[in-house]
Amino acid sequence: MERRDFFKVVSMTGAAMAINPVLKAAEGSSLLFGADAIETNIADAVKIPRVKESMPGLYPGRVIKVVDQKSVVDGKPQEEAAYRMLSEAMLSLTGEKKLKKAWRQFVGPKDIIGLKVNPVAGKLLTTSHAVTKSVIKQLEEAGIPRENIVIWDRREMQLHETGYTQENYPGITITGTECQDAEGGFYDKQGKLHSESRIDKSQFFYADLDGVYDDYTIPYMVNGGKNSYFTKICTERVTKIINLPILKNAGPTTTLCLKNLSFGAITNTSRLHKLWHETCAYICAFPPLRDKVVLNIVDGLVGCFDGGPSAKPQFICNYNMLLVGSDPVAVDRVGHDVIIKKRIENGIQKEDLQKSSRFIDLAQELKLGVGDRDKISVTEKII
Amino acid sequence: MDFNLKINKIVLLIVTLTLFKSVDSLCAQELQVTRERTFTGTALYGFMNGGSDLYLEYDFKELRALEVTYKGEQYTIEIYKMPTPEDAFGIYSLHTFRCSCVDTLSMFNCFSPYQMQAVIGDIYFSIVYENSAVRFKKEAVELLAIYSKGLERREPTFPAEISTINPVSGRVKYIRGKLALVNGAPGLCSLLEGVSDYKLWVAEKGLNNRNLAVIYLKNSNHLTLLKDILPASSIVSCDEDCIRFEF
Repeated sequence: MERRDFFKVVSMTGAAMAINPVLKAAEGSSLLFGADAIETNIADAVKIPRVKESMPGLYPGRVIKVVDQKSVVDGKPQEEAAYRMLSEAMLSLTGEKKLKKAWRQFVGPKDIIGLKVNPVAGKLLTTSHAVTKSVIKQLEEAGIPRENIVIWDRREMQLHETGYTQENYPGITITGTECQDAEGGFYDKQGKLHSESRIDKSQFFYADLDGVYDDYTIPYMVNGGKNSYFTKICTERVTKIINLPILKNAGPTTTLCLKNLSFGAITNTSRLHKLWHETCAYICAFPPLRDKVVLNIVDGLVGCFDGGPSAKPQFICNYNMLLVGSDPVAVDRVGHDVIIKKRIENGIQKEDLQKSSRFIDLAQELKLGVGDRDKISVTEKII
Repeated sequence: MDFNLKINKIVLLIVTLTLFKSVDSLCAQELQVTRERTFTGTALYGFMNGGSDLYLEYDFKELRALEVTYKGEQYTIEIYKMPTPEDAFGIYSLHTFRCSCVDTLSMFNCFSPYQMQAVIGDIYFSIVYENSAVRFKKEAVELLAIYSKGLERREPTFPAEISTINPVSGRVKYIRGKLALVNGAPGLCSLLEGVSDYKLWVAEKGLNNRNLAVIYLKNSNHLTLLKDILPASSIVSCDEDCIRFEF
């Protein structure tokens, strides 16, 4: 059975969820605390055969950390520095001598490449244009046509607000799942959300938590109920994904590669904050992400150590850093440690709480990458 | 206190003394709202996604988010309506960090290089500016005066043990749930695991240079449980619905 057909079978039968085996979420939780076990359909995802591109990709357990103290000037990330840092990282990760060859290990000219940025915290703390433009430049130099590049996130309007516009990125598609029309409306003339046409109801994450939303909230969730549907951007539009999260915290935990992908690719998310760690890991185990994400580039030129995932100026700092790897779990572990160290230095917390990186452990159990510190190889480059 | 900080304080004090009595004289034509949005209840997810959970824990009511140009400079203003002054103070208290010019405006307020925060009645204000020069702080105060005009100024009711602390901002936190606890007093997470429906005040470095916690609990079983867990020497006093302890 084709993977896509499998999902169709699951979605066509309302009873399918009752029949299909479900895993109990080991410890339902918010950022730290446990809750009662919650049923999900992660077992369905795990059964689907992996492909050669599946996470953790070409370099399991390998992370390149590049630091350039001059990469941010007057609070502004510098594109020239970002380009240089990215070049160093790509050559080091792949062992290639030519940048083009390094990129071509991950993508080809026929691919439609989705750059998953993170604009959710607004202009103060978005994936920087310095990094995004450097990625695009190097993709083009590697022979990827500009029209094959898609910048995407969950909310199209937040992309525009943070400068991801046609004007700034001519020739590149900029799209999101949740969207508004030119007048700012969420609904078409038939009273249907514009966003509904952008979700793939054949591919979904089920969790036994009901999303119930009022009229104010539903445009940002797209649907309620117990299913979170994947965006068509992932299921249909792109063939490869390059993940560009920011180095930032969420309370005592961190939101890097896995969080940026998972909460960015599905609908009906607010209910899932109760199942935060599981969602970060489980969603990435579904084929639209597991089999398409080839590279993770954490933008740590500017990041934050508290106040996240929102942007609070008093907690924003210059890490002057990029973290790069094909393995999102290993990259998340290294990034997590960077942020927690900063939190401890600033007196926000005294020690790392083991529970706060449970999503990394869960992702490792799902074979999405390497989360154990002693099995991760970190190469540090200082420019 | 360094010289710049002294100057900042003096400037802001003068601004405050004159400003809040003469809001009408502020030049309205110098203020242009370039964007305004309102988010009610759980629609806050549309503004800050996962960050909303913390605000919703305090029963957040409504956010008015504005982008304005004032005297030629850009400011981002967020005005959060909370159910009570205590809740407004609570969400504010979690966002204060290394404040300067604390509580200088006859209210709870905190300046950091690119942001001013304040609490007036049941409203929490955040004003973000793009430059750390003192002029931007002064203009943020003017904006606060404009947008807080007519607001009821009822202050939060602090527990008696905490009401003597001065200044308050940056030293006192008010916590109502798990996320706030993780953010505001992570050292108490283990102690309060399994405890719910509480109102917790935490004052840093109080008596004997130790932190003081005042926790009000609805569930008497939780109260008993806490009394049993806490070392007797750390308990300052107890009432029917409240324990005060040091940590």
